Amino acid sequence: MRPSRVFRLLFRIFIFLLTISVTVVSILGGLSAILILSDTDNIQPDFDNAEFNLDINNSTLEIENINFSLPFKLNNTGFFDLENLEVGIQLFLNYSDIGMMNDTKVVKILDKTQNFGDIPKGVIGEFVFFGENSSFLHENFPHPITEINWLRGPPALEFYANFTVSLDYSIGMHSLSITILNLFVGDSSPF
Amino acid sequence: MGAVKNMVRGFLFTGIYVVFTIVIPLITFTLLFNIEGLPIEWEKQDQQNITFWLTAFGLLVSGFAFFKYSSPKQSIRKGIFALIQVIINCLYLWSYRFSGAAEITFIIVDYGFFSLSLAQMILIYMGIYFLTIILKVYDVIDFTINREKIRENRMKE
Repeated sequence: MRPSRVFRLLFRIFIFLLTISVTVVSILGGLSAILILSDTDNIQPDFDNAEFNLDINNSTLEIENINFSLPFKLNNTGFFDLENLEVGIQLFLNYSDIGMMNDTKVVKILDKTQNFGDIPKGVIGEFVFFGENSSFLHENFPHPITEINWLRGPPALEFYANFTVSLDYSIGMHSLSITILNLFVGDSSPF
Repeated sequence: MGAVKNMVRGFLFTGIYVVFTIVIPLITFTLLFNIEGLPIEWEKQDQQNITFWLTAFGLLVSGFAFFKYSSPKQSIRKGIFALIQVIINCLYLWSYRFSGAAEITFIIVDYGFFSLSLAQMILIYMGIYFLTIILKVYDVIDFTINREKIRENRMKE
């Protein structure tokens, strides 16, 4: 065999091994996605233990403090570490607007994404998403006296959330995101 | 006799390429688009788009497979067709990206949606194809430089 053919053969074996490795990682990545997504218990936002604190000044009806926390678990049943786990929550406030003939109005009051790092394979990651007072979009809050109809309902205020979990797996070759839309998370009524 | 053998070889490999680049991907996507029993729907109604690009590039790849595999061993013709075929294979893989097949999004009825991105994986495969292009260019140069020696060996056979 000519030397050039020997060199070619070695190079071809290298490309073949590279292709096989990438294909194996891709297949195992696909299987990981199936293993994780096939059991709804693997991705569990714990809405029962979610806390939403809204402190309203009784005399001025101004919002003094607002925060939101949501514990959640993610069980990595796949073949690789889950990387770059991010949870994004958009919180919306639903109320009746006095200035608009009591029409129902929805405003976004929180838009936060939190990164929780990696979850090694076979490990159940337990995390708490926390939206502190400063991360709320205070400028979007309706004026408590001139805008919110506190006599609506009850409840006068309703809170809904869009919840997104995104992550990378198979050494970053696949990216996955799951979004739950329009989830009722709580209400508030001073009367 | 050698020419007939090469033609048969060409048709055989064209058939294999048609199965792997058109039939299997189309069956997979048809099954995915028609999933039943799960509360999910396709967000994009782009089945036609994916089908068109996969069929178009699949046919090109399969066509060049015929010319490549029906050419004599270590001939310049074979080298050139192999190089063109690898480049078209790259475009075929790239078609997964611009047809939307690399960003799959499902609507979960009354709940939300989930999306899967395979773009990074496709880029890694493109890297492997780049190495293959280097190999094919090397082949064309090798077949050109050693043309006489290759002919002599072919005559001996």
